[in-house]
Amino acid sequence: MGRTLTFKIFRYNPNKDNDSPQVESYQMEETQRLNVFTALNTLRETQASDLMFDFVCRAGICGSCGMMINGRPTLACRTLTSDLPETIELYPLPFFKLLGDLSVDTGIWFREMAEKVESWIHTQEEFDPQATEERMDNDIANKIYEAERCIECGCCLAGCATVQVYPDFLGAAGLNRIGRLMNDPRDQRGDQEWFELVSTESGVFGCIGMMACDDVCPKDLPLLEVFSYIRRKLSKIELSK
Amino acid sequence: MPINTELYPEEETHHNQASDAYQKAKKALRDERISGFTGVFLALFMWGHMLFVSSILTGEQTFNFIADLFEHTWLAQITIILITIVFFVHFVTASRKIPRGLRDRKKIIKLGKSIKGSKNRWNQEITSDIRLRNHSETILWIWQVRSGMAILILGSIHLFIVGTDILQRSLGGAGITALESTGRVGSGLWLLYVALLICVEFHAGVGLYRFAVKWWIGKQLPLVGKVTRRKTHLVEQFILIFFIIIGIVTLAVLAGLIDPPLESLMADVLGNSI
Repeated sequence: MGRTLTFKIFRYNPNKDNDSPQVESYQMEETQRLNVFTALNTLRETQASDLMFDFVCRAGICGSCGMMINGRPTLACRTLTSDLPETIELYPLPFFKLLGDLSVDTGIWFREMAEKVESWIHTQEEFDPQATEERMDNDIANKIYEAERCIECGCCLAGCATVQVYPDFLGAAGLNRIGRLMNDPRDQRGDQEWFELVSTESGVFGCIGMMACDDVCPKDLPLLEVFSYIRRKLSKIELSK
Repeated sequence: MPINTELYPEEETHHNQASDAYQKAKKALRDERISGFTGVFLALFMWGHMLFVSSILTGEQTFNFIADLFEHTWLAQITIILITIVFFVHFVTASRKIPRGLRDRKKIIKLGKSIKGSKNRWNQEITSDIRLRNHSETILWIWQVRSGMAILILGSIHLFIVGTDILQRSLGGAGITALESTGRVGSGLWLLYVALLICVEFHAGVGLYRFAVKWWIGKQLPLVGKVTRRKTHLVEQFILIFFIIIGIVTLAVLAGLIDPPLESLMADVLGNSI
């Protein structure tokens, strides 16, 4: 016999005139291996046709369905209702621009971040599409791969108290991107360029060290290890001047 | 061709050590280093300080001997001046991260409580596919700020009292003695010292844990292997409990509530050596 779940969902459409934020309750029967994402789809089909939330992949890869589930930022598609009590409270991720209900625009922030950190390989070498790809040391390739696993869901930023009070801070996602590029031997940015970009209060030294990013990251990225790597590297750069 | 974006105006792409961007970056690193290293220095000092004060556990004689030694060699005088300076430098550099607005501080508390409290709002089985980690460090930071502010006030009072004592010794007075310390703690100031002890040990413990995570996590170190959050947290908790116990017992002796528990042991040692 399945449980009857009560979903308390934040509802607000900023584009609708006279709409005000409120929490609405919906009930549904729990089925086996039900996850929050599937439950939301069922609710939209059966009870709340105008409910806004994002999803694409249903498999924890696209990073669209990040939301606050019972007080914690995480992915709806990876959250089984069996891990939750009968009452499930859903709020949109804080910090990002609210599009409506549970849907936020993480893209604005990630684009700005990518522009700030110039998130591309900086090289003067001309690209030869016919040439064989250069070989890379396995350890470095693994490090880059680890950082590349970030799905940009925004949970690290939603959980980070620092970024919410200092919005210029690059946050875990931004620093992780920087760490990825710093490790890449193809990126020809010099020590001084890295130093000026990251050794700032909006870069790695803006981090207070509350570690929520590390605890809530749905992909278990080694975020703190990346930050400490960046800190040590910047320190070395400064000492070598 | 250098890449020129709106976010990186041309003057900032000329990388030299005189550029504004470089100087700013250098200042950020310097502030972080100063706040971190002054914190580590103060924490190490506090542990040493605790061990010296706890010499009262072996009786007044040892306590007086150590106090006399430090004052006689001018170590105490130099230390108190140095510690007072480092204490305020640490306050200035470490507090730069505290948001000035009450609204912002409330935001941090709210988010920290939300994630910490989510532990009770989920009911995950141990066998769950995706285990969520408990999170308390955001709230720990809030308490670090609060304990830091308490230390600023209580520590200043303590520095003033002890500073006056040491100054008296330099001018020919008695300086720090077991008699004076027990009188001070027993006169009601024990309340201040219990509060100061708990605040200092907590603040230093969490601060060192955060410092280690910030700079060394993921690094392979000899003996301990890879530095992880779990290891650093365990070490921090052990040290925290160890020093709070020693501190409480020491204060109880100084307040005259219990006799020095190691006095007979000390007497045995001294007796044997004689």
